[in-house]
Amino acid sequence: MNRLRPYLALLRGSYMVGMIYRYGFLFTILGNIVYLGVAFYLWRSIYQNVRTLHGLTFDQTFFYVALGSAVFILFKAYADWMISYDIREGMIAVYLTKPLDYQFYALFTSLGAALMNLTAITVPTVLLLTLVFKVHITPGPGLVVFPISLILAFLISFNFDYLVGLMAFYNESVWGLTITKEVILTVLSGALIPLQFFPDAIQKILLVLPFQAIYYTPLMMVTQPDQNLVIFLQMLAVQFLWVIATFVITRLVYTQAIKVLRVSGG
Amino acid sequence: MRTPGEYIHIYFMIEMQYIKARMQYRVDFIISSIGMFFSSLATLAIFWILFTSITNLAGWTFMDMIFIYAFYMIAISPMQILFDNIWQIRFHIQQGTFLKYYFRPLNMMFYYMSEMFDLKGLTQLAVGIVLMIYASTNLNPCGQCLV
Repeated sequence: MNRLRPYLALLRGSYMVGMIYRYGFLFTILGNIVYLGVAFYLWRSIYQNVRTLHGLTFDQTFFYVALGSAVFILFKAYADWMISYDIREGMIAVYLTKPLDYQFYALFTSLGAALMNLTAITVPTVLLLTLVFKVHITPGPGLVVFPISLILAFLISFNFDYLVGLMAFYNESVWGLTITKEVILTVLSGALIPLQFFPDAIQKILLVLPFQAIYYTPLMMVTQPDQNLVIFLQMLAVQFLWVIATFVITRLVYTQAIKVLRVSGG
Repeated sequence: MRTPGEYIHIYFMIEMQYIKARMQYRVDFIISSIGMFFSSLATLAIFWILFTSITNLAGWTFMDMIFIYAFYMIAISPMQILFDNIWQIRFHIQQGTFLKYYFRPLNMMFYYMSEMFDLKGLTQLAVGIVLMIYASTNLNPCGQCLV
């Protein structure tokens, strides 16, 4: 517990930093409402003549897409920007001399930002979905495992951010890598459309990649929550494996990257 | 009063400094151009995936969508290329570095906007033009006309 205390302080600190710019959240919520409206009418036109597409009804697809946008904002903790900023400005030297693990330092700072996103953006969006768009959620075991799945998904998402951030050790600027990562993640993880809509061959490939564990897995749990619990446990196991795998990879990259670190200024 | 010629001269001088600064991170510049290329195509990929399930979207075909998207990309490019520095104002205000613009013997907005010339935007413009030509040649402009 004592070892965890400094990290909890970091978490609290970054949560409070989020509160400074609370007006920014208003616009993010507003933007998301517009996005939800667009998504609603877009998918309604797609479902104009059909009841189900790839086994999903309009309600299920819209809920998937809408919740997807809320989770997308939730995961935006900008660890990659933060790390590259620390490296460029030399701030990293300050953190490296402290008795902290840099990865956990970044993780808890991101977690604070994510919690801020959760309270300020994700919860209002979900409320809006259920109250304004009247999305009907079927009860089932999927809803119970969803929070666990979301946490695992956040850890994978963070590890990707962290990995891109580490590239700043070599490159100093990670702007390009960050947008490339964003694009790959949003398209291939099923954040914008459910993976079922992808052509079969592509879908098979995507299901063995780590990206689907970030958005597709948790979102499917709430879109079709009335399945057997065993299926959900399998999904969680796959996610857990990806958390471990990405964690090991980031650790290995870190031990290499720290050797080439050059700090000028700070 | 400065003449427009002087302004153009100053603009290019500031711009050269920016490009030199960008070139310092050459690898990042190359990756950003590739990233911008892919992010321009990402929306297109989503359209393509959608249109494998449906033949038309409320009467719009895939080619129509490509055309509209290309039009959007071309329309947004000048803003993206010339005025991208707007996004940085927030950080300048937070960090207090905006102060330096008060000390320049130049129109503040002119100087601030000159400071950045978004090279990645050129990738977007190029993709937009290519897509627009592609869509235009494949479009049947009178697909829904009553002939």
